[in-house]
Amino acid sequence: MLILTRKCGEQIRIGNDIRIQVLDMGKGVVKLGIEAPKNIVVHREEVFERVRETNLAAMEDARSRSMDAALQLWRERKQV
Amino acid sequence: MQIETAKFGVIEVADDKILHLPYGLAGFPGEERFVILDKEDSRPFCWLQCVDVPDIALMLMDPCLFKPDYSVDLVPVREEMGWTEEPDGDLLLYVVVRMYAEEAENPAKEAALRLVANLVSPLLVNAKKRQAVQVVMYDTHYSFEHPVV
Repeated sequence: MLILTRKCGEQIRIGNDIRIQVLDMGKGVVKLGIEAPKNIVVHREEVFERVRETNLAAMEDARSRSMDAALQLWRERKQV
Repeated sequence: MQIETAKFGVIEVADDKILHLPYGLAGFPGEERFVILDKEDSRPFCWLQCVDVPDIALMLMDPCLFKPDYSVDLVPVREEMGWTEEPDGDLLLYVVVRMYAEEAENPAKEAALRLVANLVSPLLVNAKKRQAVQVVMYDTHYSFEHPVV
């Protein structure tokens, strides 16, 4: 891992077209501005990870169960 | 074209039904071609099937069927996708649904099945442009496991 020290307002460049600027620093919090091309998705790591896990779990569930059980649950719900 | 699926065997899909996900789908890097399989006998559920990997298939449904007040700010996503001209009605919103057995407190008891939906990252489909994107919402009060039933 490359470790850099930056002051407020200073920037980091990754490759030709990604720029990260330190906008503000508070108590234990940094505010970053990120400029990246449209085809590069920028996510907060923990949210992205949760979306990834949920998609993978959904695939596992879909693989191991039949849709009939889901349909049955749905129909039972409508009757209530 | 013919595509191979783990769930339904080899199926025929019209070329113009194939959706391109330019940002891919989190968890399945490199996969960008998907198709929505919507059969009458399985409604309200349908499937998001990967065209190139038979095992990748997720169950989807229309969130309004169980959460009528569900709302997503689509403005940033539409801008990002270049879908600024489309009327709202041209876009379809789905959520990924999971069904799993809840760990029973009493091992002797049969585990109850839970049906939940991810309301944090819905799938937005532009059928006309044949594109789709999984939206990721931040600072939302919605749950990754919202009960469907």
